[in-house]
Amino acid sequence: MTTSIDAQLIIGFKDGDVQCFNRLVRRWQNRLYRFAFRYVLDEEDAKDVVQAAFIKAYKNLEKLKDPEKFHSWIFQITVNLCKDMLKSSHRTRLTYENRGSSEENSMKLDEMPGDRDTGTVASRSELSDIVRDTLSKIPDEQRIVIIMKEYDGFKFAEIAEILNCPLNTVKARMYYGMRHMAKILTKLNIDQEVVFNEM
Amino acid sequence: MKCNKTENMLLDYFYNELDENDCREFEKHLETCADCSGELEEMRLTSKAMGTWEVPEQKINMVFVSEKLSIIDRIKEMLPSFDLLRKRPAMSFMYGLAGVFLMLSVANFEVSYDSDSGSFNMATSMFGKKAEKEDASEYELANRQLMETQSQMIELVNQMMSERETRQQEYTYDLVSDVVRELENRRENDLKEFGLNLVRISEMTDQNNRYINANRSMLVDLASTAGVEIKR
Repeated sequence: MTTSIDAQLIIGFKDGDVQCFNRLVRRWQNRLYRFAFRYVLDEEDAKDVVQAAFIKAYKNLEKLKDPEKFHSWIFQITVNLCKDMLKSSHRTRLTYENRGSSEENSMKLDEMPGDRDTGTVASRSELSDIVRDTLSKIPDEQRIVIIMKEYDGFKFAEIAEILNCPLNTVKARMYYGMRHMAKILTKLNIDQEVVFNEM
Repeated sequence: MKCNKTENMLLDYFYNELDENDCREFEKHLETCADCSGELEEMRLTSKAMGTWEVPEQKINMVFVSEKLSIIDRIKEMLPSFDLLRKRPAMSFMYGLAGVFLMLSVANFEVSYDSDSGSFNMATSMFGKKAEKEDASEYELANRQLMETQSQMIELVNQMMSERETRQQEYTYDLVSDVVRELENRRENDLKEFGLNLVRISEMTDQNNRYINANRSMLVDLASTAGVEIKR
């Protein structure tokens, strides 16, 4: 059975080659940053989370029994740090108006359910902003599952392992989270025509 | 009425986590269930919209561990055969000499063009451009000394190489001599043994002749007793 690259680097690090850890960091830093950013919705906070995650990983790598499970393990650390970050900063949900866009473009999503005309999404970036804000409105536990599934490509079983909760719970959160998203997007008249035009 | 298949199988189907059989079964179900088809379409649309959200590119370059290496360790890293050089002094001396040669030749290598003769002159020097400002005779003296040192070093290297070659030849010669001696010894032993075998054969032949003669005499005696004459 061939060992994965991560496992080889961990074994190398445990044997005393400290540069193996830097290579691990280079392999994972961008992916972890993208995940953290999607969760905490702030660039600097996301960078802090990733840095803290690697510091924790460096200190505890000796305790990792199965090097093949590194990806789940580092994500577990990152998820917990993201939760702590959000708790400690008492971050309010980012709404479209808090993003700092101009007054002309600002709107409160919940207050304008039917005011959007179909096809008035001007650009892909506008749709992207809407998705981001919609995602920020759904409960945390559903949001994290959606991010891990939709953007990081984890299997449901892997997500259950990382979040340390039952598989059915993960699937239920995913299902209701996606329905919640769909409801909000429908309220904004983001329908098939809009989405497929922007793609 | 919500279909009881929706929640359980829909997600697995959409994210390709169903096995083949379950997948086929669910697809058959979709053909007849409007609820599930509707929800699947909704999920597809939501997923597609979510795909538009891209994280802005960030140049992250974390370096976690930086080793402080001493100069000797850095040199050791650059020379992977350091241990080999320790174990073979001749090789290390050669490498050292080569390094010195390289340094001397690279340190102020000069090329000049003689317009009278139309030729290029190349020379190495310890003093570089500054030599132009110094006294020409001192420069020439230093240059001559450098050339002498270089030629002495070349001679030394040649001497070392010829000694090494001689030693190798001697070793080869000794080896061949040993082999030849061994072969000769074996040949001698073989011949001795052959000789001994011939002697044994000769003795055996004599013995056989004696037996034959003895038997003949007996026969003749017997015959004469019986009054029969045996002619040879």
